This record gives sequence, structure tokens and C-alpha cells, in this order.
Amino acid sequence: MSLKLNEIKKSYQQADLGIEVLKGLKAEVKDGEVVAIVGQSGSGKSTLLSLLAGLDRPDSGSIEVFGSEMTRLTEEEMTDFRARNIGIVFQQFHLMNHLTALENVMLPLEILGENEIEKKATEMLQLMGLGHRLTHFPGQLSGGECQRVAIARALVVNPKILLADEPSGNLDTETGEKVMDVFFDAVKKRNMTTILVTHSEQLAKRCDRQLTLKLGQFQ
Amino acid sequence: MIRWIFRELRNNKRFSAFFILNLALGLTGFLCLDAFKSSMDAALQANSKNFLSADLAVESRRDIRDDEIKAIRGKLPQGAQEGRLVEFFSMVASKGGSRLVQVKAIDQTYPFYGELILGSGEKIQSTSSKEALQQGRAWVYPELLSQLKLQVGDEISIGQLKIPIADVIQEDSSQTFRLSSLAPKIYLDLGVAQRSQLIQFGSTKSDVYLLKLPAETSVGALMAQMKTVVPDPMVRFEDPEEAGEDSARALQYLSDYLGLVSLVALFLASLGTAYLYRSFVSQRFKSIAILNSLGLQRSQAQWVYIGQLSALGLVAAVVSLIAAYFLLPFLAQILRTLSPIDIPLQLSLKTSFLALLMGALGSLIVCYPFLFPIRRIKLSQLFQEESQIKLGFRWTDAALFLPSLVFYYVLSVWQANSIKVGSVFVGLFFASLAVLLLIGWLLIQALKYFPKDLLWYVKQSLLQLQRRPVASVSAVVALGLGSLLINLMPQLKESLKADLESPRNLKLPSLFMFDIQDDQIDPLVSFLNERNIRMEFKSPMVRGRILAVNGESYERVEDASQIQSREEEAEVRFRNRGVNLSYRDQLSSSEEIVEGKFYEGVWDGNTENPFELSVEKRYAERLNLKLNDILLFDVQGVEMTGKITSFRTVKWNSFQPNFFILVQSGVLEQAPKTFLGAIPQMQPNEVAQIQDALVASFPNVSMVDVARSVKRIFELGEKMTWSLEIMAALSLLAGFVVLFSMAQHQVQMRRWDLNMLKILGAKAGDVQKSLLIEFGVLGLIASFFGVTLSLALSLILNLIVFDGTFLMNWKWPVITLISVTLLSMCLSWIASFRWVNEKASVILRGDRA
Amino acid sequence: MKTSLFFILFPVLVWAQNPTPKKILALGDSLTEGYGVARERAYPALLEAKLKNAGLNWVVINSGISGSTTASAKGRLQWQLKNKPDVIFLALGANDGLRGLKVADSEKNLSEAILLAQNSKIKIILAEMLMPPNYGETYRKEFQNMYSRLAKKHQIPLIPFFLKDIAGKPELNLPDGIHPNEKGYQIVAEYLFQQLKGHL
Repeated sequence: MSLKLNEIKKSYQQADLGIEVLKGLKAEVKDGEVVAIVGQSGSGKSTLLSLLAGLDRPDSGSIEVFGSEMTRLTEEEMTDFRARNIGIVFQQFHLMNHLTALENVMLPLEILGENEIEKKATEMLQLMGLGHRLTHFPGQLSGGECQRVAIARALVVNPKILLADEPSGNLDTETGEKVMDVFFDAVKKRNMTTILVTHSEQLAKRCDRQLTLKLGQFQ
Repeated sequence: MIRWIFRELRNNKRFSAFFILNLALGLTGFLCLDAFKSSMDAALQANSKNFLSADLAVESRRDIRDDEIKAIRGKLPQGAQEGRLVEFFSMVASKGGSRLVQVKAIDQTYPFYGELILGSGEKIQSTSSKEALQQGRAWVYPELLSQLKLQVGDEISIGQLKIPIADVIQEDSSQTFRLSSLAPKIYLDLGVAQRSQLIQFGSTKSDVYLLKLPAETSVGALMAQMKTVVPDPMVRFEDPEEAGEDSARALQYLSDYLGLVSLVALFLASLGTAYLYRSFVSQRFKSIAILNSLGLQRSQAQWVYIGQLSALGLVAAVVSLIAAYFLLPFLAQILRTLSPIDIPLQLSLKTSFLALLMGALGSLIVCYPFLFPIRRIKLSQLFQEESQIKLGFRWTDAALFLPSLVFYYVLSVWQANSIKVGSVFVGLFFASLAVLLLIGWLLIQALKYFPKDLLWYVKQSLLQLQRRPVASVSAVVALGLGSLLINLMPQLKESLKADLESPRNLKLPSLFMFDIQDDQIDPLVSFLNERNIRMEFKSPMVRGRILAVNGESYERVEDASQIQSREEEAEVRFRNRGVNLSYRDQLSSSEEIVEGKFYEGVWDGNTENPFELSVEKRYAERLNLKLNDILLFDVQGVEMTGKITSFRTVKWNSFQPNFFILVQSGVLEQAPKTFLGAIPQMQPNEVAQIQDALVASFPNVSMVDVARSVKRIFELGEKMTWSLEIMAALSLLAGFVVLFSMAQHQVQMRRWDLNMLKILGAKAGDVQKSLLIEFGVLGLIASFFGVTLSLALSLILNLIVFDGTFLMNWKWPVITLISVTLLSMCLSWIASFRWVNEKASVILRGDRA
Repeated sequence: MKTSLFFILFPVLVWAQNPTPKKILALGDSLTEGYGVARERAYPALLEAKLKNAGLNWVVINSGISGSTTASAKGRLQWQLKNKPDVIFLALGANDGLRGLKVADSEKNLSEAILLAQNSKIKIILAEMLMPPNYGETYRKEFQNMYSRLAKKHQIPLIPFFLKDIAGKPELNLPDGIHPNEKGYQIVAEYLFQQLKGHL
């Protein structure tokens, strides 16, 4: 079992009000499964994603990733865990503007202190069809190219889980489709457990399974 | 429009707060320093005014004619007051003997400034009654009583009159040190003095008109006018500055320095402000583009931001005024407890108004260059996928900084009160700016070549610096200038301080003795030794004339009718006055060789070589003498040739006789000479005893009691030194606060990147190390060059402006270097602490900042 | 040793160049030195010129030291004797008076100097000095009497106060009101020429 969610609850403080965003989520994701989490804006998708990425802790409940109980890890252990095991693709790409495409993809490998960094990063980018754009800065790349760099960055550390937050949200339909083709292709080839957060039914259909998040619960 | 301005202000609270803080800080510093400077100026001026007892004195050794006084009166502004006095020497007789005195015959208005404090405790000021004098009595200096063994109430004969002594004078703010015991002063009423019949044709007296002028009068201009209507050199005009003598020059330097310090505070603040604003505006370009697309004209958008700037500037100015208002009494209190300075600190209306103007206008002038590119925003950029709108800086944009340049130039000249000082300062400052820009650019270039395999966070630091050239260069410039300014003031201070401070091992002399004959000097020393008194120094003095310099005739041979102007008269008489030569084989503790080499050894009279001379620097400049010039002297009928082999500076507050020309040994020992000597401070009653004993054995040796005057000058020097220290410290403080806000801001801009790194799995510690390295490198390079530049600047300023010796002090540059580097690292650490440890989940919620 | 040799030799060499003119030593203070005017406009130089013009072969040595008092008279005279002056014109005392020194002391100093001159067989002429009116009648009289007493006691000529027509007149004095200017010294030189020529 790749991922196991057990009664995840999460509330936020907004002014003086406490808003319960997640009201006890339960789910299981098998190895290699591509799961879509669908929901309207404000349904708690982003919150869930933060929890899954280990960027935040649930108020109660547990998250198990490949057997490890994430909620039990310390901040430092969590960071390390995330570095090795979780890849994240953001809607807005979130690339470092002052680094080239290649350097962006190399960054997580450098942080982990791996070897053959440049080789691995180059290969990954070539895989994404960006072999000719290695020395370009994000400002010089189109939206689609940026997102592909982001995907490359997420995949280059060979994570156990890939989290994607509306990966084609910032792209036009045609580009979006092309990028998602690359995405699914890469993911399937690696048999990577993937959680895809989206509001697009169309995109959700391309996944193995779909979980609908409504009012803080899976429907 | 107004609405939009308010909205901008409201929506950017953090930025507004920091902007106001920065600017307010600079302005507050400026105001406090300015208040200090004006109070200092006023206090020192009051000192000089007390000395002169007037704003302007008209004096002559002959009677000032009616037509002359009429012409002078014609130039007086409304509200001016006039007083009259006559001074002369005379012999008074009493039952205890006769004595030389200096008679000061005053009228009802005396003294316009300052006061006399009598033995009875009465204070005599301008409006006080001088009934005792009008009744035909006198106020006398206490020395007279002890010398003639008299008491208050006894009578003295002055001319034809018998004058009872009404009281003694304990304190006299107009006292000159020259003659108080040689010829104690007696105050008489002017009318009474005239009845003594001592003032007649042939009398050697000074006829004086004292003028008190309304506060706003420009004394200098008035004096110049009067000199034109009374051209006769026999009538002298004196203002308090001249009356202050040597200390005036030192005070001028201090004033200049203080003016510069307040400018530095302002410059630092402008730096911080401009830095903040650049960043702020560049982020606003996107919203402006959006507004533009919604129909707002670009020029309108500009006005919105101009309005915002002015509003912020005004608020900052008001805040600073309030802050200064509350800060000043507090500061004055500290000053009083820490130092001999006791002056009230007040904000003048003029300065307050200026602060408001500078806040509103200044912020605009300085920040506008960053606003200008708004005009170039291309709407089409909105349709691009990039989330940020970038604008390149063109070279022509540099011209936008011209108004700032002019603004600061005018301000500098005004503050320093001299075009020379202001120009030099501003010129050097902007030159440094250019140098730092270059250094910043070079740094970026150099960073391209760093080795590939470094720790990832080190590599990231360097990449950050290299790939964000604008931010890096502006940081280098800002930090560099900050370091420069921070180090400049203490550096200048050290040099100035050396000039103002009295020499370390100074024993303040109390009594000067002169006209000690050659055959009296040894018996006199023994005489003193028997009484356990050590003679402080004995300087031989030989009288002579300079006949020629390098073969050219030196004296001005005139026929009296040829001399037209005052300046010419003064010049002719100065040249023809003869010189007092002295010889010594060592420099005194208050002398320093500034050029050439001090002579050594004894002159060999058998050779044809001229003997060696050491000349005082300013005297040499006045006579246009250069090193190795040959001077031909006439010493009591004997012509002798000397060569200048060194120039000396002598401290103004050294309390020793300053011989302009020193001759090496072996030349003048046989020539007719007298000696000057001094003995250290003693109690007043001891002084009287010694004087009596001396007069009996050495009747021609006269003594002058300088204790009071020396003390005053000494204290003045101390006060000035203190104010220097405080001002330097204040400018330092301002500098560090600006550095803080800059570092803070830099980090804030980076928080997004920092978060991203965390998400990618970087440890918090590593991320912080990255920041530390980045800011450490910036801080180190910027401060290194900033400090180097400041050393160069202070050297130049010292030589050109302050005319002093450059005293290299390693302490300050090293402190600045280390502290700026450490500070920028610390501050980045502190500021980033929050971000690095915050939950990175914010990244998923918010837009990219 | 060497310096005194220098002081002796130099004037001697000068002397050796001319057909032995005779020497008047003007021993005085700033009034003799010519404080504020060029050396050649002080009365000793002017006097020498007048003497030469009158065909009298005399030089006038200017030994005026501004500020000097009668206390320096003997010592300076001692030193100047090396030059073997033929006549001494003693014009000291003004500074004693201005500084209010005791007349008795001044008189003693002058007397010693006069005796020294006479013992060296040199003719000495005394110049009378007067104090300005502001010093009071008593002191002025006392001061003036000192000179007549000295002249009488030592049987030497007394030249009446050579500034009597100059003191108090602004056009003939420097702005300090005490020292004559170039015009003033012209008058002094003429006066002294008239007064002294008979004694040479």
C-alpha cells in the first residue's frame, strides 16, 4: 500500500472563526495507482495536498506513506522524507527564476547530495522533450515548457509518490493536453503512485481512479 | 485620484511603514544634529559676543570724528543700540604705592553681552544700574587691591581725581588674558574719566563705539558697508569672530564638520529610502499595467505614485519632527551628564520647515528616477505568460538622478556653509557611488567563474548574487555607501580631534613672564627653585628683521601717502614689523613637522652655508615661503642668512608662545636677547606672593596671569572634542539602522525562494547557511570597498577642507568592516528566521510574491 | 666661540671697505627699530642719509629692539662695544614708562649704561622720553625728571623728546597711535639731525 489516509481532520483559523476544512478523510492508494482528487474551489484540495506533501500536519488522523507514519516524523525528518520520497508539481510551476532549466532540475539532486547530477537532470529534461532548452531561464520558456521543467524536477529524484496540483491549470487546452500526455507517460513508465488534484472532469477521467472531495469529505 | 493614492497607501502598509521609518530616521538624525550644531554655534558665538561685549565694535587710537560716527550711524539698521567706552593705561597712586592700570571708562549701556560679577555678588549687565560708577567710584580687579594693599572703600588717585573703590570684579566675561595682572582693570564711568583730564591730546587711548544689532542683521555685510564709508585704516571694525582669535578657526572646522555629519545622516536615510522604493515600485509595475488596461492613463498612474511618495514623505517628516521634539531634551540631558557641554538643544523654525520640505520634496526627488519607467510599461506584457513585468533600465535614465545630485549639492553647500566644503563632499560622495557601481558590476562578472563543485547551498548563494544583477549591485552600492559614511565620520573625527585636543602631557601654565634679561635668567630660575617652583619653559627671544627672501627685497618701503586701503595698510605694517626669532634644539609637544626635516646639530659658522630654520606653516603660507627659501635677516645690525629646512604646525591651544621662526643652535646664542618663561598653575594668593617677591628682585620682569583665559580655552577644546565624538556615534547609529532595514527588506523579497527550497527538501539549517553566505559575501565586499573609499575620502577632506593632519586609525575601518559584514549576516539570519521556520504550506495557498 | 667671531668679523669687514666712517650707535626700542616701517625708513637710516648728504662720514647702527626696557641697556651696550662705536645715542625708557615700572629702577639701569659708556671712553647722548597724558601728571613729571637728573649727574647732552611734534597726530602715526609712520620718522630724522650734528 502506497498511501493510507486515516480520519484526517484539519481546521484553520480565519479571523476569530475556526473553519473545519477536512472532516475526517479516509482513503487508500495502491502502488502505481494514479488517483485524481476532484473538487470545487474551496473544497479543501490544496489543504489536503499540503498534508500529503508533509508541508503541514493534520489536527488528527494519520497519513501513512509506504509504511511510514508521516505524522510521527519530526520537522527535520519530514523534510528529509519529503526530499527523497515525494515529488510535487505545482499549478504555477514555481521554478526558480534565476536558475536555468537544467539548474532547476539539478537543484533537488544537489540538495540530496547525489552523484551524476548533471547527467540525470539532462536525461530527464530530454525525456520531457526539452533537450534544446537546457540553458534557458524560466522567463524565456513558454508556459508549457515551464510546466514540463517542473515535472522533470519532480521526477528526477525518483520519488515514491508524485503529487500534482492542477498541473495544466495555467496552460491553454492544447498545451495542457500535450503536457499531460508527457505527464501520464512518464508516470506510467515508472509505475509511480500519483495523486492528481484537479477540478477538470476531463483530466480526472484519464486517471485510474477518482475521489471527489466535497465539504471536507470524500464522496 | 486621491482615492487611489489612499488605496495604495493602505494596501502596502508594510512598505509604507518601512519607508516612513527609514526616512523619518534620517530626518530625525538630521534635525537633532542640526539642532546640536546651531546650539553649539550659538553658544560659541555668545562666548565671542561676551568677549567683545557687542555685535560690532568700532575702535580707534585717535578720536573718532563726528562725521565718521554720523556715517556709521547712517548704516545702522532699525533697533540698533549704541554704547561708548574709552580704554587707556594709566598710573594710579594710593597710600600703598602706585601701579599701572588699564582704565575702562564705560557708559550706561555696557555690556551689551556678558556680565560683570562683583565681589558683593551683584551682577552687572546692560540694563543694570551703574550708580556706583556714576557717583565717582570705581570697580577694580582684585589684583590691584593685593598689589597696593588696599581694601574696598579705600581711595586711589587717578589723574586729577580721587576715586573710592566701590567693589571688586570677580568675573569679567570680556576679559582678555593679556594684561590682567600686569595692568589690572579699573572700571570708571565715562563722564568721570573725562573729568580726570587724562584723556587729552596726545593720550594713548582707544576710543570705542560698541554696537548691539537686531538679531537678523548680517554683521559681516554691515561691517563691509561701514568700512567703505569710513575708509581710514586708523578706524578699526571688529566683530565677535575676530575677537575670538585662534579658536575661531578651530570652531569653524567644527561647525563644518557638524554640518557634514547631519548631511551624512540624511544621505544614509536617502539611501535606505531609495533602495526600498526601487524594489517597491518594480513590483508595482504589474498592478500599474493592470490599472492601465482598465483605463487609467500611465501619466495618471505616475501621479498616483507621486502623490503616494509625497504623502509618505510628509508623514515621515512630521514623525521625525515629533520624534526630534521629544528626543532633544533627552539628548541634552545625556550630554550634560556625560560631558562638559551644557547647551540647550532646540529646534529652530527654519530647520523644522526645511525638514518638512525635504520630506515631501526630497523623497520625491530621490525616488522619482525609479518611478519614471512607468511610462515605458507595455501593456502587451500583461498578455504574456510571465507573472512578472520587467523593465530594463536605460542609460538615459541615469539623467533622472540629476535633480537628486543638484538637491544634495545645494543642501551640502548650505549645511557646510561653504561652497568649497559642500562641493568637495558631494563630489567625492558621488564619485564613490560610481566606484561602487563598478565594483558591484565587477563582482557579478567575477562570480561567473566560481568553481563548479561546491556545497549546493554555497553554489545557490553565489548564483543568487550573480543572477540577480540589479539587486546585487544595488545592495553593494547601498551597503558600500553605508559603510563609507559610517566610517567617514569617525575617521574625520580622529583627525579633527587631534587638532582640537590639548596635548596630552600639558601642564597648564599660570603665569607668563617676559623681558627676562640674559643675565637674569639663571638667577631667576634659582629664585624659583628656592621656592619649589619649576619654570615651565624658557624661550629665548631675539629681535630681527627679514630683509630679503631669495634675494628679493622683503620689506615694503612706502611713503605713508601711498597706502590707500585697510588691507594694504595691514599688509605693509605686517611686513615691516620685524620678527621675533628663537632657538631651540627640540620640538615641543604641541609642534609637529609637516614638511621637510627639523634641523639637527649646531651651525658651523666657519662655512659659507646658511643656518637652518623651521618656520610655522600658516605664517609661511601668509608670506608665501617655500621649503629651501633663503632668508636674509638683520639682527641688531648684523646681516645673517638662513635657509628654511622645515615647516611646523603648532596647536592653537598649546598655551605656549608660538615662535614663527625657529633657528638652529649656534647662531643666535650671543645675540642680544630676552627670555620668556612660564610657571605652572598656583593658587591666587600664592600668585600674589610670588609677584611681590619677583618685583623686588627683578623689577623689570613683568608677569601676566593667564589662568582664567587658559582654563576657558582648554574647556572649549574639551567641549568641541566631545561634540565630535557624539556626532560620530549618532551617524553610526543612523547607518546601522539603515543597514538593518535594507537587509530586512532583501530577505523579505526572498522568502518565496526560501520556502521553495524547503519544499524541495532542503534542511532549514542549510537554507539559512545559504543566506548567511550570500549576505556575508555582499557585506564583506561592499564594506571592504566602502571602508577603503572612506579612508581615501577622509584623507582628501582632511587635506583640502580641514587643513589638518590625516591621522590614520585602524580601529574604525576594521570595526566597520567587521560590523557591516556581521550585521548583514545577522540581520539576514534574524529576518529569515521567521520565514525559514514557517510552514511552507503558505506556498500552496498564495500567489507568488 | 665661532659665532662671536662671526659677530665681530662681519661688521669689521664692512667697516674695512669704506674710508673708515665713524659710528653712531642708536640704542633704543621700537621707536629706534622703526616698528612697522621698512628699515630704510626708520630714523637711523634716514639720519645716516642726511649726515652723508651733509658731507659727514658717519654710519648709524640701528640697534633698536621693540619692547626693550632700560634693563637691557647695559647688556646690549656691553655687546655692542665690540663694534667700537664712536657715539652712543641712548633712547630707552619708553617701555619702562608704558609698563609702569618704577622710575627709580629705570634710572638705575640708565645710569649703569651711561657709566659703562663713559668708562669705555665713548661719548654718550641721552634722549628724553615723555609719557602720554593718560599716565597722569605725577608719573609724567617723575619720569621726565629722571632724564634731566641723569643728564646732569653724568654731564651728558640731553635731546628733548623727539616725538614731541609727532605724538597725537594721526597723520604722522601708525594706526596704533603710538609709533610714527614714514612721514613721522622723516620729521624725527630731521629733528635729530639738527640736534645731533653739533655733538659729532
